[in-house]
Amino acid sequence: MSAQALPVAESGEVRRAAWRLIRSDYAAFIVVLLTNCAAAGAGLVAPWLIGQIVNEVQAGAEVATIDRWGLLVVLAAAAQLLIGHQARRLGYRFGERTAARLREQLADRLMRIPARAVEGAGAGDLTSRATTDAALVSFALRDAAPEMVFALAQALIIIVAVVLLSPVLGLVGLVALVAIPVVLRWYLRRARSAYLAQAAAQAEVADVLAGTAAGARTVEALGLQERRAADCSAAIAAATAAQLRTLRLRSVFFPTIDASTALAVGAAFGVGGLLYLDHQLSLGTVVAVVLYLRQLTTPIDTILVWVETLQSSAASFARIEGLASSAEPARRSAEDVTVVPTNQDIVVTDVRYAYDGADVLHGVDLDVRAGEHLAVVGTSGAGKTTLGRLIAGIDRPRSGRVTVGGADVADLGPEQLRQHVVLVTQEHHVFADPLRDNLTIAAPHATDDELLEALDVLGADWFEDLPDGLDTDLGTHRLGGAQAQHVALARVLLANPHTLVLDEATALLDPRTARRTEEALAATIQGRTIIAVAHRLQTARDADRIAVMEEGCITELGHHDDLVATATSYASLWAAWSADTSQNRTDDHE
Amino acid sequence: MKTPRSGPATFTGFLLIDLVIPLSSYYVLRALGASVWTALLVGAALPVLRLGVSLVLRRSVPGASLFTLGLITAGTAIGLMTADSRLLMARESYLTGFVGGWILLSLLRARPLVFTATVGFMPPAAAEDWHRSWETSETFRRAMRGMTWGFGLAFLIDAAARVVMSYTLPLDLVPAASAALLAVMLAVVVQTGKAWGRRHMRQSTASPSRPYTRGPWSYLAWLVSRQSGRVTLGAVLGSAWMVGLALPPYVISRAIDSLADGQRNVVLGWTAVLLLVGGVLAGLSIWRHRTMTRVRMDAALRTVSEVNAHGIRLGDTMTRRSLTGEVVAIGGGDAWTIGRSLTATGPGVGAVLAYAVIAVLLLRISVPLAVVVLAGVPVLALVVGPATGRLRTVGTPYREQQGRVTGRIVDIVAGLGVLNGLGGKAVYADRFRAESQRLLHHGYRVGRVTSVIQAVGLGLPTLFSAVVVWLAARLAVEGSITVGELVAVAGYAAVLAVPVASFIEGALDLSQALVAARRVTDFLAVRPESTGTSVPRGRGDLVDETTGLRITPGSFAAVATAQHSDAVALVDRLGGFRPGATWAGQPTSELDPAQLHEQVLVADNDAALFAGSLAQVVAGRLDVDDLGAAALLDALHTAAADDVVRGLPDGLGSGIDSGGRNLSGGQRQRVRLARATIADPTILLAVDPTSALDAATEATIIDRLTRHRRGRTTLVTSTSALVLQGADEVHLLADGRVVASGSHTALLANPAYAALVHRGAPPAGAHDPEVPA
Repeated sequence: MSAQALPVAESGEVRRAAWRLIRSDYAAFIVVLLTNCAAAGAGLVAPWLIGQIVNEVQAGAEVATIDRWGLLVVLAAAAQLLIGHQARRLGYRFGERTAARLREQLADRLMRIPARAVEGAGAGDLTSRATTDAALVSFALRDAAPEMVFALAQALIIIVAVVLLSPVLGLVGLVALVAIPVVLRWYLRRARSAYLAQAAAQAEVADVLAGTAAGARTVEALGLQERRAADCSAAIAAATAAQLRTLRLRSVFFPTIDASTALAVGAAFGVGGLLYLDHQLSLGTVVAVVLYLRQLTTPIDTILVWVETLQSSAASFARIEGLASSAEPARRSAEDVTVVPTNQDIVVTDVRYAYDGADVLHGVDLDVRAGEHLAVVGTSGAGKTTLGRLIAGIDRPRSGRVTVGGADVADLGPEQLRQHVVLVTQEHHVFADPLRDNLTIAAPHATDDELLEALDVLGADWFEDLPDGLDTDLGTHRLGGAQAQHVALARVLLANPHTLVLDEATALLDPRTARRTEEALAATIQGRTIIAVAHRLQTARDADRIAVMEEGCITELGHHDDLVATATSYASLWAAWSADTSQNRTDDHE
Repeated sequence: MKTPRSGPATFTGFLLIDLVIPLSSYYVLRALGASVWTALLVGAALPVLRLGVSLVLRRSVPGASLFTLGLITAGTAIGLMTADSRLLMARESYLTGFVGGWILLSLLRARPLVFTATVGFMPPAAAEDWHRSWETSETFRRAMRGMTWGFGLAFLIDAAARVVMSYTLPLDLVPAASAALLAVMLAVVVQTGKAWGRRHMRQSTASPSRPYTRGPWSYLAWLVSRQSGRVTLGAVLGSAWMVGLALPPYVISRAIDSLADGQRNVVLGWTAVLLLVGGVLAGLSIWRHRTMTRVRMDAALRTVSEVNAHGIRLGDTMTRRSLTGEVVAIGGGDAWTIGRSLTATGPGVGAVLAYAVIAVLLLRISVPLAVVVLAGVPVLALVVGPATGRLRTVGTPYREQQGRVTGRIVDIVAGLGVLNGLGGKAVYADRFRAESQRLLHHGYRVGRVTSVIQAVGLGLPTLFSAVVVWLAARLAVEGSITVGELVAVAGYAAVLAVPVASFIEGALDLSQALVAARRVTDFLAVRPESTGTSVPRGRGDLVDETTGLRITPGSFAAVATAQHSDAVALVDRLGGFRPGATWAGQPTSELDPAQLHEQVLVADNDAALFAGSLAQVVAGRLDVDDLGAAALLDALHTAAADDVVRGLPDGLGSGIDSGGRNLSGGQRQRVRLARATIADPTILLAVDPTSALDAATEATIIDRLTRHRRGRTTLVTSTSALVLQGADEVHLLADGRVVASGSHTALLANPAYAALVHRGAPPAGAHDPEVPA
């Protein structure tokens, strides 16, 4: 059962989302732009001043005159330092703020993503979007964007300054630089996939090494030494090839950029020199233009350093924004819910459900009376777990209805739902928070006494050993599997639903732990309606009714004795199991 | 012929006295205003002196020294013959031409010069090897002669290029260009020879090099020695490039001065030179970058390869000593940190050279200005450098908070199931927002410090340049320097920041790499714990002393215990991972691990699955092609894993992710079992091989497995009645001892056994009085 891949936002949507982010902090954004331009501008006064000094020297000026110009050069540098500081500070603040807004919005969306999209392949994808992608975008906003804005402002102002000083030389310089946008386009079109491949190949190398590390015992036990060495060599060869590919891209890209800026300087000098000799330009102007064009390499290099980061962070941003379309509109809060369950009966009516295209449930009908104990059995893939999830309101049926007391379970918000139906599985997440917070999720107003009582009912004797009781931080003090299961069951007790859906809560535990957990479970299910998904037949034997599922349909429904008495598929399953346990059963009845 | 005491020292001395000192004295003398003549004579004097000393003290004429003497006398003689400074510039052409001729002439002698010269620089033992190779190997002799031809011709070509250069380039450019040409040519010639020699030695002795693990420094040295040719080339290119950075301001200043003089005819010439310099620098820059990228890559991946190989050697020792985290850290970042540090070998050397060249250029313009710049830039770097280091400190709480925010969001994603089912979303949304806002405030603080440091880091050098320009402008208006030189000084001050910054950066890289290399060497120094060497005798009972378990050859035994850890420890002993068990009387832990595991296979419940095609995963240590698809499918059938093959897009050829991530828990378990059965060991020890499977599948597997293993010894641990009933004999383990043995049916009479295998009966709720029975 694989969840559908999470979507990635289209480029139009990405642009709109980026624009929304900027617009929500519009004034700050404008101020950042302006200060950056001012700082870049201050940095560009110096070459012009040096040009003026050259002219003055040629004109045979006094030392006092030169001192005035020299002082201006120093003042310009000081201004650049001060304004540059402000520009950067404001840029960082803007970036940090935007990154914070982005991650908080992301967390809100995570909460609204339907459960099934999170499971299976989706969980890893979701985690990587919430961590790696979010970190990359934050990094871009914090570090890349301010640098980029500064460099762009600098480059732009240099070009404007050159054109103002001498339109002819400006034109010459710009023509010489024309190769840069061309090669940049060429590079960016290839760089993304090449760098992604490089990162993937490097991750693969790390993965192979981590695999050897984690599986060293298996390598020894199974004699996999040679295969492991070969896998490592293959990963290294792939990483080498991927790195050489990006190196080839840079081998075209960097020299073209370097040569272009050199060409601009050379051409400007040549043309400017001839114009000077023809008395059409002052030597100072030629000097200033040449120095400006040389200075252009600084912002160009900065842009090149960050353009790749920005490009890949744009891809990450698209992945984060993709979650927007997965998130459901905010669930109604408890007060808004208009349908209120009127009794405790569960009714499943002609329910169909599909994970990817094909239905896995084909029109299931089922009534469960309050207080009944129903076991659902069947082979793997028959749809037992799916049915359990639908009854517990985790997933919404494609068609048909699942209701509790007349209200659709999928419409109930968690705070409502937990009073009626709760799904208990072997997965039991413990949050990295104090034990108290882990429990009050299910009952925000529960007193400490109530919390302790819930743990006590379950026989959670380990509670005595916790260093800080209910305040013990379970992020630092990690619980074992059985203890975590106790926490999960205590939450169920505190939520106090009238119906429990049990999906093999103990299947993967070792026997001793399983027995303890089963005892704990027994404490939680007293007096409730039980719908138990059973992989082992023992669980089914004593249920009030057994529902046998085959290929997405309930094919048999009845008490154990009735089903065994007739020639059902349950009867043959039972025969296989009871062959070796019949003796034990006689013991039980004695 | 006498051999010098140590190769590298002699070689360095040779370079220093015959190349570096003559060249630098030339520049210093020129800067101080001496004529080209005097400079050249003084430059040549030192090598002559050195040769004289060597002659007197050693009373011998070593080949290398004679060769140098020939070079210098020929060059000086040519220099004395004429007063033309262009010809004098072309002097080195005659020298390299002389070298080329000398090398080619040596082909007439018994052993060519490439052989005798290289042997001259070698440690005695290695030299012995070479002499032996010369006498015994025709390939060796042919290659030596071929290389001598190649080197001779290379020197002749260099000579020709230099003559052309001397007569075409501007006079002041020639020494620099000529020096660069000579440096590159020497590096290429020497390194090609060394690389070839190494390859030959590897072929003849075939001893793979183990990394030096005495400490981080020696490990880095080993990484360099693996690719010394490339590292040297990187250093040469890095130096040439950095020195080259000083060229544009120099050329621009000269060009502006000739413009100021109104020389129309030279404008185009200077433009061409500007373009040429720009082009050469772009080429040097990318060549350097390519070389250093390969250096980094080689070091990083070689580290990964060594660590992986050592991890394989360690086997279970690694798991026992909890070294997994160390290895993951090395693969995750340390390897690349180490790789990056080797880059410092280039810029490090280059930075010093570039600083020296710029110093000379500045001294030629104005001594006071030079003093201000040369002292000022390093002082600035020392002020700004530590400030950059402070960024790291300031960033620490920020990164920690970042970790908390990330941890929080991972926690939320993992707990979404709970939040969806039981509520608490609002609480967690608020908590995340609070953490996020804390990160924002840390971010503001970092931004405040970062912006100051960056503004100062960029601004102070600019401010410094401004002051230098002002000083230079005063000198210009007084007429002590030209307008062009004024422009050049500003350029030099800016360019000088590059080598100084890269020197500091290199030092930082190196300090981090030492920490990473320490981790690597510590890991490589770990020795495997299993030291068994005895050869297993084979057939006999497998006996565990701790539990009293005895398994006879050819039987299918099962162990049932409520304590999973007891079962794991038992199999550990039987499989020789821990002492305490014997096989045919021999303690298993004293047997050679490789030979033991070939016959006694331990199939852990959570054994690792490595990435690869399904066929490769199942084949394990065996070859996929040798086995053939039928055998693979058969093994998968035994493990009731036919549906795994069917469910994957390309059947046996489908890729399995590392850890079997793209399989379900039950599928993983069956694939592990198939892998264990196909290896067909004499003894198979399987821990809970069906724990994640449903009853029907368990029954199928036990049925097929007992048939498949007929005639060989098998032990499975389990608490499932279906598995236990298939075994010939079942042993019940309680409190670390075998307390009962017999068939499953017979043991069911034992209450403890019955309770163990029939656990998981209906939940107690079914017996609740409220629920009808």
